[in-house]
Amino acid sequence: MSQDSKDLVTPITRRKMFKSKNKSLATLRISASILAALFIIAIFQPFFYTVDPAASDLTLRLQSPSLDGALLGTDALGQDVYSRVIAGFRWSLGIGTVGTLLGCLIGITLGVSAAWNRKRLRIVLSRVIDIGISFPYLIIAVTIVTVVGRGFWPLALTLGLVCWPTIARIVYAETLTLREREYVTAARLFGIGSIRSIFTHILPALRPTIQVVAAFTFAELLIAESGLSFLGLGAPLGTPTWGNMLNESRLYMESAPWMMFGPVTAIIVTIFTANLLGEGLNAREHSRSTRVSQ
Amino acid sequence: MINTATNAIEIKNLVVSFPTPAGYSAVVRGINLTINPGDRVAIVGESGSGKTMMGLSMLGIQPTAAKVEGEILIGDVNMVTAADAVARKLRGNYISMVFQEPLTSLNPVRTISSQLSESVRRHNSISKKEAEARVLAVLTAVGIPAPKERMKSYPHQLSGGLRQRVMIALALINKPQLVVADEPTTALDATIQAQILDLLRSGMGDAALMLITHDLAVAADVCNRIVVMYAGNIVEQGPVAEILSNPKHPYTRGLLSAIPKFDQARPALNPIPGAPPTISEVVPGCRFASRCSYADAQCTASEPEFINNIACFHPVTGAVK
Amino acid sequence: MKAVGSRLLQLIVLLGTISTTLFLLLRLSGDPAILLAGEGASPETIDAIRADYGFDKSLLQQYLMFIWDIARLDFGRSLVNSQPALGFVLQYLPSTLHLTFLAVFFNSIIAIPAGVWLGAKPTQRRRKVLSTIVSVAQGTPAYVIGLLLIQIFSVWLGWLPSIAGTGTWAWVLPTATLSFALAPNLIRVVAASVEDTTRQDYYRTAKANGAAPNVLLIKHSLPNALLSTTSLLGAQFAFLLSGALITEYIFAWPGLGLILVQSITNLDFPTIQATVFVVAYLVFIVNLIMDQVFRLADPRLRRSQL
Ligand SMILES: Nc1ncnc2c1ncn2[C@@H]1O[C@H](COP(=O)(O)OP(=O)(O)OP(=O)(O)O)[C@@H](O)[C@H]1O
Ligand code: SF4
Ligand SMILES: [Mg+2]
Repeated sequence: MSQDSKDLVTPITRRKMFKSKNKSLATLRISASILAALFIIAIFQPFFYTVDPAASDLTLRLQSPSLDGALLGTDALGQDVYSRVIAGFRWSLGIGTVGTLLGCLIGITLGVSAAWNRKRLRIVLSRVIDIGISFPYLIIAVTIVTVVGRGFWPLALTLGLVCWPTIARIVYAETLTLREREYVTAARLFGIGSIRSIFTHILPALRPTIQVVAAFTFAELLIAESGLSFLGLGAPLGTPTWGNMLNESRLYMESAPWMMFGPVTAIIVTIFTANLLGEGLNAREHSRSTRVSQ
Repeated sequence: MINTATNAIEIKNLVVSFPTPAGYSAVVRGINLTINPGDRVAIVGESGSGKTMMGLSMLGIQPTAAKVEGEILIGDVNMVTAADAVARKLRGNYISMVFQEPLTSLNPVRTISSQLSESVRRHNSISKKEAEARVLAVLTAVGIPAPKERMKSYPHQLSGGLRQRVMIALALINKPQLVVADEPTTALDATIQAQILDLLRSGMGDAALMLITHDLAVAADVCNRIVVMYAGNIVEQGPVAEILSNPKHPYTRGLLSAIPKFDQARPALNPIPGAPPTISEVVPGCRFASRCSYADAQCTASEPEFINNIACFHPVTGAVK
Repeated sequence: MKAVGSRLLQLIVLLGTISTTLFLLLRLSGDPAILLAGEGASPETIDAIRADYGFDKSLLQQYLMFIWDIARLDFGRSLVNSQPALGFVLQYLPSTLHLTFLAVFFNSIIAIPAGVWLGAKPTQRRRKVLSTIVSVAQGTPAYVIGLLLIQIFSVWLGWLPSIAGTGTWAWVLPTATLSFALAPNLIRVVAASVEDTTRQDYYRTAKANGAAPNVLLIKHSLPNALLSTTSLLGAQFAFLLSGALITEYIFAWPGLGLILVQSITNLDFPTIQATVFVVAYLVFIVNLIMDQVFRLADPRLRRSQL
């Protein structure tokens, strides 16, 4: 043979591979930390106020941002935009969390049941999921909110109630693959009941997927929630939420364009971080599964 | 343009490697092979021995991740270094390839005739009508019944055997000098396999054939020369009769004894125990040593050169029982 | 026509679920007559509505009446202007469709080439471009985009009107807003489909026969990639109708979205219901059309010819 074995193995590329893996882990860490920080703001919000977000001083209407006065300016009622943006964290993150939890609960239940059953239930449930996915759920949400009224819990529960189709579909697909995997089959052979093998085998194995989906759903619900508030259909008028603030700022786009700045930044940063978390989790999951298969 | 006087293709020291976490690993490890006009060469070897990668790199269509070194000479064009525009003129024209999966290898949303005439008109400046006449002629030649109607069909409307005939027609339509057929019958039923092998044996015109197969029986049936590959190397080659009656390399002998015999009630399958080294494994000596019953200290110390059509320190003589 | 049947069944199930939910919620959340009458209605009006809607009857009777009315597409009269709700809503349909088609059109001529560009040669740099676009767009709600566009192009530069019906160019900003929201997803899907085709066996066959890169792209990748993108368009449409809610509100575009927002603000239930039904029906029709387009475009789904 014409070539020595050693010539045929040229060293490189290793560093490159490490680099990309570290990068996705870093993404995960950074986004998780930022999100944790945002939650801390939401929980301990009074510590972050400069003034009471509800206090209005009509002599200080539409002030532009300044370092020694209102950090992000004041709105038409003379309320401090910065403090109101801070107050918005509790509202948005709270609704996002509750909605995501409820959506995941419904989505996982439906998805797993559909995939686990091999008979009529599967056909019915997967149809239901299809229908849910094809319809714009925001439109259902606004309709429900009209009836049940505005406010934190109505909005959070409504969003949770309508956002499950995507979650259900992803869980459904994943469960279908999982149930064909050997260990689940083996568990069945040894007579472990359906319910138990769902809890001991399927749900733990679904966890990474659910984490990813939950992060993306959270981001999506933030968009939906602030959108509804923006339309005046979500939060009670006057409540300090980002959507409300943006809606109020529309009237002053020429005279006080800075009113938009605070809420827009808060919304974008939060959504962006949640999406980044989803991507980070996804990448980690990906690198795990490729490592196993090698 | 191309000087075809001497041979159809000449491969010199071909190395194909892929990036792995440990660096580039070769799956084709320095192959030399010459195919003459009209030759029928079978490439046999286990799964993963690099047959497909060698075939693909002969046309310059290896996966993008692959690194190809050495020379693949078609006339005075070196396919390894040639500009894409030059290599393109040879592909499908001078050298063409038949793949294993005829269903997925044809474009599902285009008719048979549009795919065939696309290839004709790419390499010949002829009218649409003339191209269609060529398509009809070649479909007839490869034994497709009612070729006129089939031209308007989509691939999914044909049976597996017909689809493979279409693939062969596509490979032959520009009258190439060399056709590389990569396990063209593996995906087909046994009876259809025999028909396609017939076609490969007698329907190729002047084209040389390089048939990649797992199956020594198929190789013996269709070809006149056998090249045995193991873990990226050619370990033995020779005329069919010679290889069958007097295989010298222990690996070839192992392959031969694994063929089911007709006079036995039950085929006695003797697959060679063990597995070839993985592509990134560094083996100091002969890559077959771990599975070879003739191996000794010399075999594990250094790698045997390919001399006199064989790469082995201890060639065996005599027929396989 | 099995496909039509199954889509129709989907539509009926969806509408049934929505209306039953609304029916129940409306009864559970206090006196529906008061809700329906709207704020500050006189007791006589409320009594009239109670009798009119049969709220004094049993729940089952009410439900059957309600379903029967809906089945005849009788949603009642708008509480705001006393027109039959369905007719009132349908007046606004063309305007929404107009905006939707503009968005689909501009979105397609921008996002499809962009997706093809990214997918045809997925180099590291192009991937980066793609992921940046997608994450920026995913993180920016449609109304933020709308407001920014107004701020820049109407308020600061003064180039484009921000209110519907105020000039020939009033459609530009709403269309841009919707496209912004829609394009990233389309780009991503087109890019993924195109990239996927380059890994297919038929692509390798074409290459083995000497096809040049542009031929590979146009004759082998695109037909297959666009085919698999078609199935996305139905979902995009549903998304557009959601987006219309916000876009139409921001730009005062007189369509279904604006009507929905207004009737919700006015608690005009008949109009709300009629709007939801029209939207559901639109989604149904579009999915049906997409099914058929898909069937016609893909020879594997056409009836076999031999
Ligand atoms: N894209 C790729 N990246 C990395 N390694 C690859 C790639 N394609 C093939 N290989 C490796 O190259 C080696 C040779 O593959 P090849 O397909 O040439 O084998 P083969 O002899 O044709 O086998 P078979 O009989 O199964 O077709 C295999 O070990 C395979 O794992
Ligand atoms: S060189 Fe040695 S180990 Fe390799 S095949 Fe020959 S006898 Fe066997
Ligand atoms: Mg192969």
